[in-house]
Amino acid sequence: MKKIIAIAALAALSSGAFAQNANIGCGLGTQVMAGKDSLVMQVLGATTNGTSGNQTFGISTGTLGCKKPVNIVSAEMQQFVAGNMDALAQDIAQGRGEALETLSKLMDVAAVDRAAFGAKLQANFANIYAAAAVDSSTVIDKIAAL
Amino acid sequence: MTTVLGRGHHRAALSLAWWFCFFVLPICSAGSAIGQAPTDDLWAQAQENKLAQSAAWRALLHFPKDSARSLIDDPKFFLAPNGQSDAQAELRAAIDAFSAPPNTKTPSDDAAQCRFIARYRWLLQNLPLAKTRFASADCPELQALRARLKPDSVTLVFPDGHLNSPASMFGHTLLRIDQPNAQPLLGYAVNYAALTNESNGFAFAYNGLTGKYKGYYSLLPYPEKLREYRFTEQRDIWEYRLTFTPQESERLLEHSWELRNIFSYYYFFDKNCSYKLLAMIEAVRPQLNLLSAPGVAVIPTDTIRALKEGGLIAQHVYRPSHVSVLNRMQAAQTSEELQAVQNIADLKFDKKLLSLPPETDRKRLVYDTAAEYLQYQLSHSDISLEAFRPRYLEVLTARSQLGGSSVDWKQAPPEPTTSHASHRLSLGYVSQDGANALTLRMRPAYHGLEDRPQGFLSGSAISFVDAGVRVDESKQHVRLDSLQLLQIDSLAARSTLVRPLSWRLSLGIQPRRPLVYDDRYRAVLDGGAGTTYTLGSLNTQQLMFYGLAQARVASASDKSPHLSLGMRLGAQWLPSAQWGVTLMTEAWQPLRSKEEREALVQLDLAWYAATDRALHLSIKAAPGMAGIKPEVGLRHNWFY
Repeated sequence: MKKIIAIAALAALSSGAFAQNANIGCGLGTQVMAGKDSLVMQVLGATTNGTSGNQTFGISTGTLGCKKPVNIVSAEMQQFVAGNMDALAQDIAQGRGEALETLSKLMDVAAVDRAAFGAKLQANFANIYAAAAVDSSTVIDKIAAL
Repeated sequence: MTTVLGRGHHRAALSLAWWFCFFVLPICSAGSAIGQAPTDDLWAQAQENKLAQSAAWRALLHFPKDSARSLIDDPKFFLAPNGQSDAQAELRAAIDAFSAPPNTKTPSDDAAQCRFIARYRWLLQNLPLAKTRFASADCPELQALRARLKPDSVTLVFPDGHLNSPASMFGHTLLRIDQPNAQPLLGYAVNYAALTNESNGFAFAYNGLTGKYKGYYSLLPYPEKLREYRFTEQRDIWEYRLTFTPQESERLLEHSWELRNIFSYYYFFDKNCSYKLLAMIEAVRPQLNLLSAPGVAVIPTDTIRALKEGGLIAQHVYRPSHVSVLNRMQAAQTSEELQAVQNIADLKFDKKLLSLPPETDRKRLVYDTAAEYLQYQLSHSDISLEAFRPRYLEVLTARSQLGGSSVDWKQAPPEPTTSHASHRLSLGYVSQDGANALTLRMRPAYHGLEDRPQGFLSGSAISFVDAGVRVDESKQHVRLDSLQLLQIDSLAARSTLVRPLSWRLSLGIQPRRPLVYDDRYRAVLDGGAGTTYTLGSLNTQQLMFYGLAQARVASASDKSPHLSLGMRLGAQWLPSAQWGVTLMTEAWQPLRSKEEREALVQLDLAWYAATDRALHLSIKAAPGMAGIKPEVGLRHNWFY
């Protein structure tokens, strides 16, 4: 079986740059790593797994470079918002979803108040996400100000 | 090959260990030796209680049952120079190290009591004398980690197949440590992966197969792993919550901590992610004995099945990729609505162009689809980050004015372990022009297009080493039917918004002329690319048809290899969960004039009698080829 994969790789005779684990940014859309692998690398990478060249072992990674919000919030919340920008924006726009639920837990919103909290954020979407360049610290400060 | 090279590595690891023993350890232990009390009585008690032989101690050191060697190659993981091959020596060294007070003035995680926290804690619990004799240590970093993660439960995470890469069907597995009542998005992933930045496909495959890469465990926020699998690779994810208690979850965290920056040589097909995660689970539940069960650890779905049978899985959760949600949303929309989705995603907000549906719930769906579509496009590099940001924001702003929705687009398809097992055995009877033969086939892995599709990514198939023999009824002659070394089909359906390429590849030995069994064979490598469409819902995929342009290299023993070009057209109809009809037709035009043109038609009617049993009626013909008669066969497949 081992030889087969090698032959398959040889047969396709292709190589390509492997997607690096790019630093996660603090803004919208920066959490997506674009897949630029060749077909062979995609097939092999997916078959064989774990080739991202990442041996990180730590509490927070990638979001260390993000600006700190003015409001004092937990490191966990800063990391969560920075690491889930796209999903949180989508959830707030829809007034529901897992990222929104996680945020309300982090902000200690009581279970009974969560629907109202979601509706309030949804109604204020345009205010929270006022510009395309919005970053995680702005999102936190805008939400805290509501 | 693996074994030979594997030994080579062990030898290298051993010589490193010697170096460690002579030069590094004396320096470290010099300080502690002074105040160290003799540990002979502790050692005697450990021997009396047979601790070194216990399953728990061996599991903590990653010794599979009955194995004389640990799976961990890094000498740093052991306190004794020969700890990798001697669990008893390691126990003795651990007792000595834990009895000595940390030799650093300020609290440091380098103290043996911190670095080997799981071993330390286990001995405290299982060696009565240890309670009064082991020294304690503060472990500031570990404390911080524990405080942040608040381990309460553990979930096994399985990213399913990748839309355009059937090979990914084997999948990946990782563990997630969750907080009490917490959201998965606040969890931390424990992942085992090979460390490499190799960009050459061939070198990557060779090195990976022969254990040239070092594998490391990593710990990172779960959303980062989600990003990798759900966004970048667009793979659905299945999460299986394990029946770990909060205490066991903490043990898992501590054991991960012990494995920080510790390497093992990574072997893609045996000592892979799945196998190494089992070692972690076994370190917490040593009575499981999963590592020594043959075959269980290699393919993730088999691993999950074994964990289920062992009573380790409490419940599962499905987390669809963007492309899965997008496909479902698309299927619920009219072509005008999908046109509006595309216009919105392209920021063509002109009222006339837009032609949004008047109903609010339809409008919501259009905007929600556009948001998913933009994320899909970004992940595919179809649009740039600069183009994505304003569009995404514009779409979400418009969406936020339309209120809530209760439609669920995340309903789970059949769970992966409801699929047939990986090994296939097939017994059949074929008849061709009045001559009959028995056929016997075996295939160790994994899934064919004609097999029961439940639990697999539709249109995706991969087979490794599918070999068959046939026994002629009249002549009592046994001959090779065919030997398919590798066969991959990736028939990914196109839709308005998602347009993947379909492709296939196969390599094997088959009769020189199709359906002619005269002991003359050829080696064939062929492949193709094209398009697949489906009718009916994309998830149940009732009718699928595809067309591929193909190329082939064939080589027989007495001829030089020759090239052919061809076409493959096929269809699959799945009228119910019990029935499947698969049709394949192909034609080949050789580029060398003296070779024969070929055509082949195969029709397969399958009755999926049970999860692991199926009956197939198949008809094969080579229309237009001189002297080749059609063949009709009936066969029974078992999966185990």
